[in-house]
Amino acid sequence: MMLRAWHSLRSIRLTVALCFLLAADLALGYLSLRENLEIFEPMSRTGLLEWIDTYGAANPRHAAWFFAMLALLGCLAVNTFVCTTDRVLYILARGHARRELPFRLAPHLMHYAVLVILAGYLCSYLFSTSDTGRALRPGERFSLPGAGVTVAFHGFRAEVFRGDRVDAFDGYVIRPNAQMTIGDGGKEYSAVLNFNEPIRAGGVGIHLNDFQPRRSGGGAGHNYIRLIVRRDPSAVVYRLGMAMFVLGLALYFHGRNFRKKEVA
Amino acid sequence: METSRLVLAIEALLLLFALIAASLPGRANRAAAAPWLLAAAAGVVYAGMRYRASWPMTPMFAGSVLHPPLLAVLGALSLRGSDPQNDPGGAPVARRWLIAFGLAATLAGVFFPKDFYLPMIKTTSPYAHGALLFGSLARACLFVAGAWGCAALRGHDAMPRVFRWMVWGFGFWTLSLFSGEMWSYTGWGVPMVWEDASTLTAIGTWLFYVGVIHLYLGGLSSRRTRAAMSVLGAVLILALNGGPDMGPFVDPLAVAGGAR
Repeated sequence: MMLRAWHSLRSIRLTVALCFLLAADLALGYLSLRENLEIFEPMSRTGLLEWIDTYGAANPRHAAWFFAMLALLGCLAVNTFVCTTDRVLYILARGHARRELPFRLAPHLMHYAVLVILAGYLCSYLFSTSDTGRALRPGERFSLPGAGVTVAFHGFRAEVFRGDRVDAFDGYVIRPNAQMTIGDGGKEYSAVLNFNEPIRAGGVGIHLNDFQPRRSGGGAGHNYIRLIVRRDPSAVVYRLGMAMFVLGLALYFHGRNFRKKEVA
Repeated sequence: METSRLVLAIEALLLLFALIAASLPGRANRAAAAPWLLAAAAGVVYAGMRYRASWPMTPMFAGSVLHPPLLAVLGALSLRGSDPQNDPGGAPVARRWLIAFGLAATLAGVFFPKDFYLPMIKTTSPYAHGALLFGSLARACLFVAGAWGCAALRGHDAMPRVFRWMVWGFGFWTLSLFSGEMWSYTGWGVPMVWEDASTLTAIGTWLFYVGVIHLYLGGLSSRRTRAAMSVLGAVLILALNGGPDMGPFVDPLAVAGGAR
């Protein structure tokens, strides 16, 4: 019984069908998401289960493609695992030359990498916590309970865009360089916070979400930063998956050249 | 903005001349090379203008209009190894479609421009630039695969080329998605930013090519079906990934008048 299930799940035809169904589902998802951003956008903050209970349950027609995607991705993950494991065991049993083995296993490394990435994404949406409501004015600080981290904001050392090359950007702050002090486990150190350059402390990622003033002398007297504070232990998992995929891809391309040279 | 739109319109006109010349019978179709080369040069100028108007930020909604010059370069590379003795018709068919795919993307940019958005500071990230550049390379490779797929559908021996370019396109598409993911993580701390719906079509296209590559590797379908899938992939890229880059209709003649 188990063996029959295993054999039926390893079908590459099933892989192809699931991929095409997922592509069609995501095309429909694009149409739905474009018109209903407000339904899906909170998922990053609430996590998957709470989102399903609230926004998902309240908007089944607009979220149908998302539930279909979860089901199809689940099937694809099982199919990929069975197919790949079967093939890897077969390759290992055949006893290929050691120098040839990495190239033979390269596609399967990519397959396992996809599983690691999917698992990382799932864990991220299930177990991460996110706080998007933190705002600090110069001189203010807050502490993160449980993490033993304090975050203080002192002010900006802004880099300003000069010139008319980019429409309406003359005098616009291009890098705010928010001056921070982080207290982490009894130690204090200075740090600079910018867009796309988060600070990590006590297992927490501190990301710059917004700031004012956007122009020197602008902001109507408001002077603040808004932060996203996110604890996501599974971020390392999906980044590991991506590294595995890139390694598999590089080995695959190298292997194609290697085989060509061998034939020549 | 008007000047860059004018350059894009010139690129489209040159591609149109190239396509007409490439459709001529016999040796006359060799005349396509000059306008195609000039169109690629105009495309490089256009890409430079779009980048200059946003640097150090990433130009917004530029994925569809930045790749035609790359398509010309990679397309010419793909034509280089063709064998006129054994397969005399394959290369001309592929060249016609290479030009046609570039023209379709450029015309979409001319008639439906979406170059009026101010860039965002968050797009200064190298990952944002990586996502755009790898994405453009991927589109160019996959259009090359689609063009050779058209030749294969006409009965020419082009399948090895279709697969080779498809695999390269798939590799670059993957790198583009990973760059986008890293940008999402560093910028917002999340694996996916739901504010941008076009992420879904990018992942959908990637999954479509996963399916097509498995069709090839598994030998699951006829050569004709596999060639048709590579052509369908190019059409899907134009529709699914080019669609989000399209703005409202603009009369290019009015733009030309404005530029004068």
